[in-house]
Amino acid sequence: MPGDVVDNAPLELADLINRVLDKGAVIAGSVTISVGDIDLIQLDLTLVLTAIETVRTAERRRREGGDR
Amino acid sequence: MPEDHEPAFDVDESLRNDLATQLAAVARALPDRINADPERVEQGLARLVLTLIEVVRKVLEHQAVRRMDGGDLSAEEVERLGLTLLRLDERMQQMKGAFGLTDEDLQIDLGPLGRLR
Amino acid sequence: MASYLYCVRSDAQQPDGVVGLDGAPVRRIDAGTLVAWVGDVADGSVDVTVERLRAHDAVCAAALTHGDTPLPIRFGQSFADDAALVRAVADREHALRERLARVSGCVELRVVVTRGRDVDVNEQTPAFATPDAIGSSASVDSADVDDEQQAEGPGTSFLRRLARAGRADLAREVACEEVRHSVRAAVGDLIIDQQRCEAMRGVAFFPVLVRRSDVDAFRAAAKNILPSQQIDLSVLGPFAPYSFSTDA
Repeated sequence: MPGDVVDNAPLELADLINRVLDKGAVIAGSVTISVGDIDLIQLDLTLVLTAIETVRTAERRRREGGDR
Repeated sequence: MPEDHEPAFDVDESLRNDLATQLAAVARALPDRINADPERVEQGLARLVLTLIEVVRKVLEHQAVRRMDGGDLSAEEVERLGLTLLRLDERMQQMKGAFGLTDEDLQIDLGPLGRLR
Repeated sequence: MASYLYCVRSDAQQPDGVVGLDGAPVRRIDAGTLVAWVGDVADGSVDVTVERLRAHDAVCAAALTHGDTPLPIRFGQSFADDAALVRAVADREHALRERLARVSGCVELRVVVTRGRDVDVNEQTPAFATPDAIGSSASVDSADVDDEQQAEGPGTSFLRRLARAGRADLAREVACEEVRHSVRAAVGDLIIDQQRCEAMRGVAFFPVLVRRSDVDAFRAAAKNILPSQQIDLSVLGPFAPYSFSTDA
């Protein structure tokens, strides 16, 4: 049938990876680095990630305007 | 055909895409706590450091291609730039090997076949 | 032993009989005013395997079948224990609630474009030459052989192959974007939200968010644009809304 992908397996696997590995909410991303029992650094990558995603979304919406 | 064919892929946006993807990979690769006590070197810290290097390396590669495509580099400059990045790539593979970390542990850029266990 | 997070939801749906990574059962825990579906994993760093990706996706798919649409969590999010997991979710409760409200009653469909006008969008050979594979002598790059390559050094060759991989994706995205505009023109009223095309790992696609009840209508309409436009596409899904879970 036209439009059906004949060999679906690589497509489906690539889509699985693109979806589950690269999308979805990120919650974990905070790591505490300590020396012995003394906490020294709290690194929160999700803050940077969220900031990047927010900028991307703002740019996308600006580019597309009201025409969605 | 979309009328307004402004550069569809603003390099800054794709750079941000790269950064977002790579940072999520870092997040994925991290334990909650890392003890940096030199008495007990943990893979956790090595994992963090190597993953952050990979983030920067991927961005460097992207920018290098952009400069080359932009046409403002001489042939010698392109070769020198490419060689540096090629060596960086090779060095990173060695580092990962030395710490027993695979690409899957760090930066995830999996081709759909042959790279997943 | 660590706590692995699959999805977050606003209702009390039980994950009865649902099994996740490495065969561990999925359980439900309260996290502030939200509910998390979680499981136990051996340690805090979860290696990526096909089986685990599928297991994670299956849990989110199970979560999608009953109750309101859950927010799927990206693969690999694990925590020292349930308490740490609950803290992390509770810290982001406001943003998560907002996203849940946005996707409520909807599912994600992914339109994969395999052929655009005059373009084989998902031509396989150059697509799978990932940058990391480029340095190895085994990499295959048959799409275009550059006569000048004989004279160029290894550094230049490396950069050129990176560029080709990137350009192939760019071409695919442009072709896919044309399809996206056509789909939007045909069936835009069914689309609650969408993202622009991405070409990743050899696949060009764009995700749309549609109401559950509109899935069949969307599929039918998307297929109907084919004969007139010489486009091949597949509509994958429905999925939990992974693509609409990432930004506040």
